[in-house]
Amino acid sequence: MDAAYNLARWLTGNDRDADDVTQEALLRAFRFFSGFRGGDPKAWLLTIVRRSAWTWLRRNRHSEESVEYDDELHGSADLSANPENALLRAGDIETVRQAIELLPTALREALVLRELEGCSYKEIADISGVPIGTVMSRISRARRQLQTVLSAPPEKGDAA
Amino acid sequence: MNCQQIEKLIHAYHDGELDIGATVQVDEHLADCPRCAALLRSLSSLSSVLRNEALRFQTPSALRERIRAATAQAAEAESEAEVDTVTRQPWLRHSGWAIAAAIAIVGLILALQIPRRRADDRMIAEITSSHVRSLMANHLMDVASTDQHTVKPWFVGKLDFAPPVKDLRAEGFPLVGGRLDFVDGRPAAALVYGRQKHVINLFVWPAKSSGAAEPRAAESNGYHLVRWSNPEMSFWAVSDLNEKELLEFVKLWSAS
Repeated sequence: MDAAYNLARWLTGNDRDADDVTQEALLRAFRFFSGFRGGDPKAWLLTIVRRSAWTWLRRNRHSEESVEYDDELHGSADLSANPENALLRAGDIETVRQAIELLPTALREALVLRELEGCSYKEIADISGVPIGTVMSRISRARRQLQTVLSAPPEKGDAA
Repeated sequence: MNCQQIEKLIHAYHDGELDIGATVQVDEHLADCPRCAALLRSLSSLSSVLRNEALRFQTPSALRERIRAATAQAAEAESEAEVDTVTRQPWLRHSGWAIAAAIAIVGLILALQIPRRRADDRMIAEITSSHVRSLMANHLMDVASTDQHTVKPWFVGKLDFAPPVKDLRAEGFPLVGGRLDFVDGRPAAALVYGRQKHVINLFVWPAKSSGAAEPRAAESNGYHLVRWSNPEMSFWAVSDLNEKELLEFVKLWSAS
């Protein structure tokens, strides 16, 4: 259930909606248990959570997702110069949390499944219903954006 | 492969998602290209930051209860409904299947979360007892030496791995000796450090998974514990020292 809640919370962005989405998804999982045809139960459960969360997102906010992060606009930090410096601000966990929340939902979803839940690309592709190539590009875009935000000086961080 | 191609593949490489052929090609490139090697390091440090347990949201216990109650209720409703209608799901026809399914789901949910935490608690208890035992039974050290070049070779032949041994005397944590111990079902090296009157036991054994983990602190019976790992070794430091100083020790140790 922790994996389900964690994903719902990251996707919806607030406690109350995460509660609703998790509960709805788990009840649905229960009701459609007959639809479970073997495989990894965690991935199956997360697929349902993800579907519920996106349904919720579509119902509640249609406009917000239109602003995609633009590498050109924000410039990308030259991380190769000093990779340790690139995470200068990462020591503060709240900063990292905010940086993840700034990601577009699709990128955030891929990143949370990969880094926090330890899912493989194949599992993420199944859960999100996209090809593995898309998973790969979402993960790399998510990481690049995080690195850029986390390596920027604090006052600029708000602009991203 | 050139740097541009590597940049496309490096994330999949970092995640262990490339096939053997591509992995070898990336390996070769990384050996000669400090820029791409630095890029890979930056991905590793990002991942270790993201693996911080604090970034995961914990399920509120009220929600947990609510879901448990709701699935039980739904199971009941479903088994009642079955009496009236011969369901479209032939295998659900048998009364009790719905309840079994509910139990399976709840079981699944529990199974996903409990083992990790339980394993953690068990390790914390085990490491703490090892530490206390080493002090109680007056068996703190098998080899008493402040010289890392005496302590490290002492382990040779006694363990199936070579533990890294460092002296942090200059930083205020002198090495005082080493000992063999048994942790998590396998032999481990215990390095003993002093801090004024306090004793720090540092347990070292080969890591099970090849990822690095940032230091995490825990407390048990008044002792503080900090665990971390690098791709080769798992480390647990335990002491009656306060958490701040123990974390400082860990920081110095892994940095030196």
